[in-house]
Amino acid sequence: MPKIQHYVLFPNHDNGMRLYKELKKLGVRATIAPTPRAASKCCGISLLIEEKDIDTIQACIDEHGIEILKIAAIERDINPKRDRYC
Amino acid sequence: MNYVGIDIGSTASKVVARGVKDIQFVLPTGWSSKETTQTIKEKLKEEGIDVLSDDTKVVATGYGRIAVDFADYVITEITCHARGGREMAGNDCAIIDVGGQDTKVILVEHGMVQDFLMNDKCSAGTGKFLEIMANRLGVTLQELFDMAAAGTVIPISSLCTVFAESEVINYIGEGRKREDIAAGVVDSVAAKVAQLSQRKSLPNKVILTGGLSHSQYFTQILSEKIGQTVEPTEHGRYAGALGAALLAKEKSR
Amino acid sequence: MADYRKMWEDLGMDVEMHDQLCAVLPQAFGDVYLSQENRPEGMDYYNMVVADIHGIRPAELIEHQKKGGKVFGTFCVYVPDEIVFAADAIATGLCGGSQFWVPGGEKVLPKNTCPLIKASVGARLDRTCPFFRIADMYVGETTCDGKKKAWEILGEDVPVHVMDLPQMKRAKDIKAWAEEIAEFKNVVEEFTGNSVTAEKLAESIKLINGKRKALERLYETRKNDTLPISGCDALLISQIAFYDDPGRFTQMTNALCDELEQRIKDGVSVVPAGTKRIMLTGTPLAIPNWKLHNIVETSGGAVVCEEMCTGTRYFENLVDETKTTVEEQITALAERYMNINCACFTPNEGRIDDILRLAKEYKVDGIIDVNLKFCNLYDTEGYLVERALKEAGIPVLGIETDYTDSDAQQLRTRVSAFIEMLNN
Repeated sequence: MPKIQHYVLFPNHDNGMRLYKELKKLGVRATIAPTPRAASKCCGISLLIEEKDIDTIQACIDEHGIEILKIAAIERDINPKRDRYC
Repeated sequence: MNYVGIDIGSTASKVVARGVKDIQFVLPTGWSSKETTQTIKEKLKEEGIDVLSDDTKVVATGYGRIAVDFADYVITEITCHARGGREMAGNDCAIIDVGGQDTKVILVEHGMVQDFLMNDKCSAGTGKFLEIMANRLGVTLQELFDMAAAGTVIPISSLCTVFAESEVINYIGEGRKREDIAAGVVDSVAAKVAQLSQRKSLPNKVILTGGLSHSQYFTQILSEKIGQTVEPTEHGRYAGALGAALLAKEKSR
Repeated sequence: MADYRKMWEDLGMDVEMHDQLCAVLPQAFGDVYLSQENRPEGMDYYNMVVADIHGIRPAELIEHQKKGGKVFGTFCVYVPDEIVFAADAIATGLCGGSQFWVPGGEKVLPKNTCPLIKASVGARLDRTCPFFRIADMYVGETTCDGKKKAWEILGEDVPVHVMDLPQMKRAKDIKAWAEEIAEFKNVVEEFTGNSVTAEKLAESIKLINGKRKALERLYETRKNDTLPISGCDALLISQIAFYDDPGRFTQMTNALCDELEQRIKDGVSVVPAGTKRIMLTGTPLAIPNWKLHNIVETSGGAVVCEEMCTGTRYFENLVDETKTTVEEQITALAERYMNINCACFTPNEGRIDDILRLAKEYKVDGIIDVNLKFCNLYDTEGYLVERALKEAGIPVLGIETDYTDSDAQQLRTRVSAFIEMLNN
């Protein structure tokens, strides 16, 4: 497991879904995820991506004029045995 | 080869080694399972057992099992107690384990766990209840049992430890005999354990394990409540650790 | 994405307190869902729904209201959504599944009320859930004593219509439920100003049956030895089914099923061969209650079926689509809904038959009988369920739990020991 994970953050839902669909067409795997609190205090969706795809994704963002806030690198903080539910 | 079973309980941590060396020891868990684990590692080293060596297989169990970072396997206390209990009572038996923070009833058939029950979050019917009440009466656990043996039961009706403690305080206030209160306390724990046990149909052979397992007095009261003989076990507190050591051997085959 | 903040404020929500809930969701979701290996890509849709759980769907409901439409909030799988959708209104599930809302409920309810009721009342009174704010009318039902009294308390804050669910299943009880549905239709018609015609009702029966079929198809994939989806994921889908747009939900779930069926053909499983197959029976697991599934699936088991309201009770049996008059359609609805086997009925042997049948169909190795603390009905019925399972030679573990995290370690010990027992 990589220690650092990369998330694309968006100003709103629509831009997030637009990028998701474009990436799907390109065959680039992006997982829709809640925005990690470490990245932003806002609720809503983000895209969890792989580091090797960042350039392709940036190019896709530019090509389609998709608005993003940033691509954030965040320390992986996932522990299925933490047992802190909501 | 050395096969080590480590049972980190809420009150006491038990260690059993089988193989080149046959040893067992117990130490208080204290406030940190991690520190206790380190102490165990050092104690084993003094005995010539290096837990990090390839010639040693370790199974950790008990509520603090995750803290044993050098364990080769982590197995629940249910499975370990069943394995250890089987060694003490044979392939078809029931094991009643009264632990520091929970009480378990395990049914073993043909050497396998067939069913089990644990008490819920509540501490009534566990060692914790006895500990709290002994503290309240200003005596040790052993003294509590000795006093109880000489007393006449005053019923403690609350199932909840917190409310039961209030009842005990009331009895103290009324100037009742400590022996009678102690008898009431032990009786109340036995009643709760019996109630849990009776949710399953028990086989003929029933043994008691855990910290109270050597107490003739407790098993006698428990037997009366359940309506069949519950046998005390001399090394019953080591049942989980022994089972873990045996499983370490069986697993690494 | 702060663009929902204004919407929440306009709904009269306690936005600051609500933010505490938003704060814990990403971590919990990450731990339970993003930790999984090899998830189906089709889960992205449900990820999206959860990520914006208090944004996207509430915004759609508000949009619907702006056009003059009404929203009905429901709490039980016996309440027929078909009637609501036939009146061009929207039904949305409102059951609370988070400890976050429980203290709010405890302000007015006895502590020994089940957490589902406490959370639901707390979510309304503390104003910390948009769905509870949006719903124009709540539809209650008489399934248990806790709920019956809770409606009276909620009724002081929001319009509540209570449906009188019979407690037995004789012919006259099914007739009585049909009468209750007819009365509900009148209430919905009056409240929305729209009439429920046979055409409209036929359409909505098809719509909701479509959702049931999609869920059935999803569950069908879980019967395979090649398990294409985790129990955690299937649970999430069941939970979302209660409040998502039914048409879209059906479409997305069918798309996911295409992927899952392909996985089965390709032999793609989310668990190693031999992983013990666990079925959960008992009380519902309302969103975001993922505790037990997560514990089972991180202790060496796989959840393959839920005999729960958030599970088979929600989708099994379809409503007869061939009826052409409203009266006949209502009878068909009553017959379908009275086929659900909930512990609030006496006797309730049908539920035991269901459990034994499902255990076979899903090839389960063991069953965990789950009881939400203080649910007297399921707790009591558990005695009969566990006895029947014993007789059938199916290992069973009874568990009582609530929404708190505090019993997680104890649950892990029990569940791990149960799976160790099955592995022997």
